[in-house]
Amino acid sequence: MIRPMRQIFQTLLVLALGLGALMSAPVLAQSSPPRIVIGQGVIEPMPIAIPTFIDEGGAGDYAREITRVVISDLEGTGFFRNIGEEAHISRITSFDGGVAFEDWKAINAQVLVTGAVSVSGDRITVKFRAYDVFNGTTLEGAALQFAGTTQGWRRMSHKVADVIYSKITGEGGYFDSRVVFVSESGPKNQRLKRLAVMDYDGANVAYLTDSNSIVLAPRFSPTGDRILYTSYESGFPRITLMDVGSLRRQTLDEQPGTMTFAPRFSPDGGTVVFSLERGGNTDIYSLSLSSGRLSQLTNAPSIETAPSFSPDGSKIVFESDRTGSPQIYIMPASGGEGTRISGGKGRYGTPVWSPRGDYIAFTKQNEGRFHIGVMRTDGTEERLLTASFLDEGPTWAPNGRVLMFTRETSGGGGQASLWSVDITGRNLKQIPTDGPASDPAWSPLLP
Amino acid sequence: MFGDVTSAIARKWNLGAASPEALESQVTVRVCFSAAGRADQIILIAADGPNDEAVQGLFHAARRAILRADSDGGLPLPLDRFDSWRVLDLVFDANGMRVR
Repeated sequence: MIRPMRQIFQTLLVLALGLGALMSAPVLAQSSPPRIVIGQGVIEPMPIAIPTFIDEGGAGDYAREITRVVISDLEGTGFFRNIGEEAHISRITSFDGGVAFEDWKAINAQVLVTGAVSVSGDRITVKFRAYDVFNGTTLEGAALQFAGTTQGWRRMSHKVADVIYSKITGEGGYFDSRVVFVSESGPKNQRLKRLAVMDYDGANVAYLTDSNSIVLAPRFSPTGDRILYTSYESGFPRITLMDVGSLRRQTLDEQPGTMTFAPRFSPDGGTVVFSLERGGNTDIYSLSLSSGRLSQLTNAPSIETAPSFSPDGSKIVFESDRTGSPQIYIMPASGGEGTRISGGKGRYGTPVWSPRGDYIAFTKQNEGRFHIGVMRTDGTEERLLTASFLDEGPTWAPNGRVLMFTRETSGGGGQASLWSVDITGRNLKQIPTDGPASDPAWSPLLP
Repeated sequence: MFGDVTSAIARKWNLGAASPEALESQVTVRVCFSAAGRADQIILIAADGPNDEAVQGLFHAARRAILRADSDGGLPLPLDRFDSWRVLDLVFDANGMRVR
């Protein structure tokens, strides 16, 4: 198992409670205090209270909606449970007023979030504070203010939730992000597909292409301003690069007699790795977007596909059926034979390296069921997170904590939909979309 | 003598919002009590974890557990034996809570 280097901290963090500063004497006086080990706690959503943000001028609707989105983001993680306002004892009537912590302790709110919103013309300002109720203090770094246009109120809500999430969990947030996916319509045997983007929670859908040709497997660039995908516009699969702002498109590496698919950016955004099929054989190639230089990274008679870079750009994880069934391999970014890391029963595919670098997500097919799973980068600690008729194509949230994927139901009327799951396997849920949807790819956090 | 204290704090030690790294961590917290059995001071004295964020997250969860237990009627400490528990070192080992 690969683990980050552990750090040993010998830290003195003095938390003064009341006259805490006067209490250092007993610490020093008793040389070896009794030692008690606590090895079991509870895993349950943390109760939090988020009263409706205060309207500080012309912002009543925005204050309500922003509060609603912040609650939805936090509760949607499965880590938090919002205590409804009907249970609140105290009312927050002023953003800068004092907080009656005893009232919030009484309803077992462990974190209290207060906020205020003001609107002037088309400008909106949102400020908020998160309190550690039982400690009676503001969470460090969780008292901030965001300003922007009223049009961007939803993004501001996500930013507020990201800060709160991050300060409580110690992990990066992921709410202020977008997902590109394939929006589907029509019967299963004649499905129309077009690219669309949405907020991570399914809101704010915008379509990027029409339904005239099939599109597959979109991928965001590391800066979120470009999208790679596979298009059948020419009748054959071809990698296409789209600028998200202008929607301008460009087909990459048009070599006659070949098919190109399964593209993905390098972490610096300067290189694209993809599969190229020529004469019945599929290998992995890289293409420099600046020089146009094409490099062959694998050379095997089997199908090598679904490449995905490690976050530091030094390695590529990919899928190969060289042993007779699809398995997962890792090779240097410069190419090579690769080392197999998947070892369990079944067929493994669509590996994706976590943005944290610690796990590889994959699709597994075994005994007639499909699974989304994760494993360490050396193949150990394999964990299956889902099971269904057809789950496939995981994509990582920017913080490496959540996976989104496609789930398809069986039968002629079967439909694809988007789902997400925490890497612990908890909090499996469907992402709301207007119609059938597949092939999600998460953006980085928005700038 | 401290079995009840362990249970009282463990019941309040909620790791539902802990990161996977925090669940690979351990913190040792020194707690100074008043003669009335209330936690007056909580200090992180040692920690072992993959990164600072994980350790801080675990420390905050541990502190909340102590304060919640303290707030919930106080910890079950024998008041007539104050000298034996005026300072306690509580080791919160989250490794047993990891998802495997």
